[in-house]
Amino acid sequence: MRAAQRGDARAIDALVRELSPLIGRICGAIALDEGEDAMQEALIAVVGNLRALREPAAVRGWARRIAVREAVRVAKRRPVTADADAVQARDVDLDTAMDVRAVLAKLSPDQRAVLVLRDLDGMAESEVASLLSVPEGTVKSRLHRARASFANRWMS
Amino acid sequence: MTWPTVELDPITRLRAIAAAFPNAGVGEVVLDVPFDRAWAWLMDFERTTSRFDTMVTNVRVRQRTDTTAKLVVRQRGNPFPMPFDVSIEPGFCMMRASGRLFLVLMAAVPEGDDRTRYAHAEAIPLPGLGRTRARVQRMVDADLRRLRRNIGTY
Repeated sequence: MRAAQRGDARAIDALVRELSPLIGRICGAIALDEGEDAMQEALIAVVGNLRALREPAAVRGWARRIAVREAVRVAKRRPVTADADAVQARDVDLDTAMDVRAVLAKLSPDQRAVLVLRDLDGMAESEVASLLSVPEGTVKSRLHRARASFANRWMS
Repeated sequence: MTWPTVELDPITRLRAIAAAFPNAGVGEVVLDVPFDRAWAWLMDFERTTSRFDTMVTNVRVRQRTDTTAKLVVRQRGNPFPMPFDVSIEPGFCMMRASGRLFLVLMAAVPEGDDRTRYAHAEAIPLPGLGRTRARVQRMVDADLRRLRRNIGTY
């Protein structure tokens, strides 16, 4: 990590590859169709600001925060093409990624961010609130709406 | 339940690494050559690098494995040969000059069956050289124009 902060290209490459599963998971689930753009912008923001990170051990939490911010920003910039009607019109296969994606597409980027951090990354509500810089009550209400929406889609 | 995810592709990897260097020049083109042919041509350093890199006059390969190479590169206007350590993967290549004097990144992905999306970055990875970015970017742009013209030729 220190080598990456000093500008060692090989260490930077290793860091990019190490962080990419975390960032890819967040950007894929929040930005959906724009996930690749969000991931690229998140990685560029992480690497471009690496020298400003004072505590190298905190790199994953810092990268997660940047990935969520970029994924929400990119998702809001370009609306997702939701095809949830198609999901409702046929038998839902709960095991396929395509169905999950269609259900996620019906949620707002902010709702997806809360859902991803809480249910995919397993963060506590207080941690999610801190990461998103919103009150814990906002996290609870977004999570409730997201889960309810998710459940309704899957049951329909 | 499977959540949607995004894999790291070579071009995103290149752009992320380049972001660490304030003077990095980065460019991207689509080549009218299938990926396998384009990548094989690009990795044939001795025969092809000087056909698109405007600064390079000659390349000698001192060592080569499937994943690494050691090159000696002669550049226009530089009387001293520059040794490079190279790491190679399918679609991704990093070339680092000794003493961190120069960094070259090359990345490619298939663009359909018949074409290749190629990204190229160059940087001088030393601190305090941010002002040279415009010059490095012009070099990269010129390299990519030559590459589009010469890809596949020997």
